Amino acid sequence: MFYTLVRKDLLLEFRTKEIIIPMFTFGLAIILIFSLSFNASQEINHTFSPGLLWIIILFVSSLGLHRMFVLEKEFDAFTLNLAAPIDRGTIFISKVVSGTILLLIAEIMIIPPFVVFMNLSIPSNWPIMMLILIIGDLGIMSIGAIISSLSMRAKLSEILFPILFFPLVSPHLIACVKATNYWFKGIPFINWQSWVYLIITFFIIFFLVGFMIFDFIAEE
Amino acid sequence: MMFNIYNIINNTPMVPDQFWAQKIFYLHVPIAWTGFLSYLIVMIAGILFLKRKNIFWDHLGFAAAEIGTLFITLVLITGPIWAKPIWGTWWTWEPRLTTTLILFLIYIGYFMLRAFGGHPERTSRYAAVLGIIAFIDVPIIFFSVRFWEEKYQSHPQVEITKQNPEIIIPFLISLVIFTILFVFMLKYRLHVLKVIFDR
Amino acid sequence: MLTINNISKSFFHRKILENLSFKVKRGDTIALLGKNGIGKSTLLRILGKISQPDVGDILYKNSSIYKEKASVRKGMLYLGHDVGLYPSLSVIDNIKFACTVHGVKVKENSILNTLNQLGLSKRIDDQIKIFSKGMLQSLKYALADLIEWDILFFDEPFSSLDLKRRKIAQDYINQWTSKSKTMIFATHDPEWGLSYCSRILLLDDCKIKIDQKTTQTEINQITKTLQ
Repeated sequence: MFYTLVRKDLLLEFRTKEIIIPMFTFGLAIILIFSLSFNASQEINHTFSPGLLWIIILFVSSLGLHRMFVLEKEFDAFTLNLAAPIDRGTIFISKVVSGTILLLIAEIMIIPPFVVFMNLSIPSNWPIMMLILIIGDLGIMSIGAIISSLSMRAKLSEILFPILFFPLVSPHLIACVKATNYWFKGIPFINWQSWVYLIITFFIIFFLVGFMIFDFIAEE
Repeated sequence: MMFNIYNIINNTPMVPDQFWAQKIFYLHVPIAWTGFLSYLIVMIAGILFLKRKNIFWDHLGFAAAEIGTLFITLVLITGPIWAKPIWGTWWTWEPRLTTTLILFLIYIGYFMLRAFGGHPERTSRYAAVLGIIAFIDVPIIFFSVRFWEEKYQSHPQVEITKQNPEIIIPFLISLVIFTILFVFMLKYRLHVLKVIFDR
Repeated sequence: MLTINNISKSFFHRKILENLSFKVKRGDTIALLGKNGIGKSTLLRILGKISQPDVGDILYKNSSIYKEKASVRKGMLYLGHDVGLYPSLSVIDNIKFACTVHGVKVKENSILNTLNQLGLSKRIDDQIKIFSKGMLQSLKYALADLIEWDILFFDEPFSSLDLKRRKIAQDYINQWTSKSKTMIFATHDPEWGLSYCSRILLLDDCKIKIDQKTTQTEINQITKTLQ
């Protein structure tokens, strides 16, 4: 059942392309704005690029999440999921997973131009970075799916969503930026593994909370 | 309340290197404590509302959120006033301050959700959920900011209180008085909400 | 089959439903009547577990749909005001998805067969966002035909249908009635309710005002309340 729901989300995206393309272009636009407005030397680019990367991911993910839940609202399609004999927790997990897949695809498209425009050199142990990206995205999507289903039926949902989402996700963002920063400077994993554990903890906590609580927020 | 302020001004010893600035400690810390207490109450009320569906718990959560935000605002005002003479700067990204600020922002969103949520019954449910996840976020914010700020700021007042009974007794009095004030405000606000609801 | 226990629902100050209790027996065909905004749709959405009541419980085949796992709701089908399908997906994708989430496996042939009866077989690869209201309404009948259900909640079964589609729709309903399936229709048409349903539920003032067999009901009894 979980597979069907994820498949539906991806199929929707495949048909409409309303999520990934805006995410990608929006990400490019942010990179452009930042490069132009700071016009910084390479050392400065090096120091703040981890933070910038996660800011871009956060903005892009909030765009994607909002879009994902708007697609559910048109034609009242979400009622189909609600009325069907599926546990609400399953719907939540499917949203987190399909959101993460879409976000990862957008990141794969965004990161190469990011590296090129910011003139960055990539450290060699990139599998760890992949891990940080995947768990980081899962964490962002867990809290994001809770918040966007809270705000999707409200008036002003497009404003309410970032106002609720950004403060709540801030500790997660700190951890992701820190971990990326250490990785980027080439410091051995042993020295900063606690940050990765913090990211994992955040993901697990909000994944479980969302799983348990989705019953109360999915219904009208 | 009056007695408390009088007591703080006249009957507490001056801390050698802090002078008058230290007096705000008697207000700042109890206010912060009350603020976090009310947010804890928001969470508990949220859980009970989701379980029992009784409108009382919704009112309790709302009232506590309002009073809590009032107190947290005061914390954010008194904090810099105290920090300026002692740390030499209005604001540092110190774990407690940062946690308080983030929590304040989340609760601004909480009130917006209450205002723009649509159907009242659903809004109550959503607000309860938000109250729960906001409070779950508190320890995570605290620890991540604490790791983040490596040159961790010391809290001079904590060590002082441990040493000096002349400070700790007025402080405790202030703490109790603020908690009592909070309970009265909460009761009053609950009554108002109930009257509005029943009308 | 379905037991509704003390359901209440209010939108803040305004009570919509108050202490509603009734039972639905197997084979009942119920016409749910009432004025606009009286809570017919709300009641159906609560039964379909899309909306939450403030208090109360619903037992379906003796298990509570609130306290037990979602799988106990298998066999319930809710068709709402809006079509409840994804506008950007094609007809065939939508139907396949709807059947799978309801735990039903269907063959492509039977989907084509049903769509053919509804006059939609040429449009199976079209996105449903370009469909007219009446075509979307017909799609609901396709769902009801393909998904195996034990109880059906249908909000406004005939809205936006032209005469031809209305006749097809009526044929489907007759077919289900002859198999003595359990159905609840929310409708504005008391005469249709009296002639095609076996039982009348009339909502008024947050309560069920009339609950009786259609054979014992006079039309003016109902129209008096509706006016």
